[in-house]
Amino acid sequence: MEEKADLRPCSQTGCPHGTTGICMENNGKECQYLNGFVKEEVVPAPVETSVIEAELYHLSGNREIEEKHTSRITHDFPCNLVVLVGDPECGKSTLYAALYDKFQKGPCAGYLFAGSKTPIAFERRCHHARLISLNKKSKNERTYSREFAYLHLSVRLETLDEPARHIMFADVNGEKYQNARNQDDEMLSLGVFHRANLICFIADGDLLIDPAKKNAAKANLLKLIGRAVQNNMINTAKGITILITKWDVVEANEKVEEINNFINVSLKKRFPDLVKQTLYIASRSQNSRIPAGTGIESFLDLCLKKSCAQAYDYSDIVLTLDSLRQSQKFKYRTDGSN
Amino acid sequence: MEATKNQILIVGLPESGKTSFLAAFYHYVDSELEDKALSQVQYPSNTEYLNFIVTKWLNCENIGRTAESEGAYAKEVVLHLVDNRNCANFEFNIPDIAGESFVRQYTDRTWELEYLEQARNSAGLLLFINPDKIRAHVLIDDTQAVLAEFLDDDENDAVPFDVEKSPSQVMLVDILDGHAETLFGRKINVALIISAWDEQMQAHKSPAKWIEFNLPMLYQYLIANPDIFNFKVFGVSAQGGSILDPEKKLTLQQVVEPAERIIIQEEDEVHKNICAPIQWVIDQW
Repeated sequence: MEEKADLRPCSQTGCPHGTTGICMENNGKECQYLNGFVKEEVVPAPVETSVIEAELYHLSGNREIEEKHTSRITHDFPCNLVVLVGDPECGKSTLYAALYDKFQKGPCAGYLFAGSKTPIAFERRCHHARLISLNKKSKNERTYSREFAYLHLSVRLETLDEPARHIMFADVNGEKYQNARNQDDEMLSLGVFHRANLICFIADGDLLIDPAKKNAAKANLLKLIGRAVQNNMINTAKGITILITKWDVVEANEKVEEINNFINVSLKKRFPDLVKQTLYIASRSQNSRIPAGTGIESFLDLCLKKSCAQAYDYSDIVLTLDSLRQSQKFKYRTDGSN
Repeated sequence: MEATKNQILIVGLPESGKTSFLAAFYHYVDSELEDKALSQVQYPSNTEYLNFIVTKWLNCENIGRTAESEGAYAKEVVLHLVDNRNCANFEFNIPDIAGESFVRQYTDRTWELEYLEQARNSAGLLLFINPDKIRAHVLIDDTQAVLAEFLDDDENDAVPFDVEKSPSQVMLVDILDGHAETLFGRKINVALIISAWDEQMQAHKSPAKWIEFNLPMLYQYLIANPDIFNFKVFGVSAQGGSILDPEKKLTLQQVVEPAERIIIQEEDEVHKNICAPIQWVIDQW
């Protein structure tokens, strides 16, 4: 008899297991989220459950924050929203993880760690770069979710001169951006671009040094930026940042100058005034000349640079109703309604 | 019910030295020591648990840890004390809560309602940290040169993420953050206690420096939020030395007044007043 497909719904946001049977954690039957859901299903015991629930107080946060819940933080604190844009495995999540890891060693760029409502989300992204994972080399934790998930970080100047600053990082599977590169509809669904204070497009250094892949990597980046411009998702007023990741690999192959020219000349030609700056990032490093965490401090500086008010200037952008509604979730309530 | 200075919460991950401290504290307030800061004026109605842990402590034996499976979520400890500085009598509640309960605060982001009520009624927290049980975050990049040849590169052998194995400082920050969220609007007094301090005091100038060096994220979190947390760091050796070392254990057992074994360090000062962290919390209230 044919085994029935396992389509149990998963308790983790964005996991397609309930419809496709594919576990986004790649853990199959062992997945804690899946099993956590089953536990609740198999042991209904309504009376007992209600007793257990009644004895517990639920705190907010901890794992990734879904878009619908972002207002729990953004209404209370002015937040800078940061979006990293790039293909799968280009180093988006690794950069978030490396920033969080840096604070576990001490202050970063003159800022103290002041808290996070999503420590487990960061920890999950850090795991494969930790010795505890038993990996031989640092690896990326892939993001499987097709829906945006948000990570929260709060930092404060070491001098304590200013109140703590809050950053929300938007994270999503790189396939979402691959689709956006191909279709206007998909690009227009990235309403997060309108709300973002900082939009960084990522060029994967690992691909750029490979003669067989570098042209496609550059073309894909230019097409993605081009479609975003075409749909008014980005503009020269706000600008974008280019992050060239895995810089340790580029440097190790002695291609710093070559890659710099290869990317930047085309970008300047195609999108004059759009690119505000280029950062060279080595979140992890297997190159003794480029320490792990290279570029992270500059990245943090950029994340904190723009004031929140700037993010809400839509004067030259026509927002869909849906985007406008989403934008409200990120608006800090200055009217005392917090 | 309003918060009262007569209740302090003992907070810490499993095996962080909470119960050893409680045993030494109970012996101290009941001891014959002169110039004690706090004294017991009356035995609690039920001292079965306290007598059990104090007996272990007096014999320099491993007290073990408070296990949740023993039934109650917390061991209620209510003491009748007098503050010898002003001769004021008071009833003091210091529940001994299993460390697993705090791990769950991090992994599940839930609190027992009983704990919520206790937190709201408390003057502050004693947050215990055992240097021997710290789970550090070690990056592969930092160890590559040394360990690369011993680690397997086969992806199938990679250990999946386990939330319960998060670094200790991440858990502790989140536990404190839960208190900040729950006790919103109230400044939280936190006495950080580094247990088994006798093994650390030679290498570190002060307990605060130890935190800054070994748990930098926790340290940053506390100093970045002075409007939420008022904290002080204490080094505490409740036993006075390692009871796993037979020679040291024998020496400790021969001390005439066991309370003399206790070692406390606050900033540069070393003394034997185990009440100091509790007094500090009460004095902040």
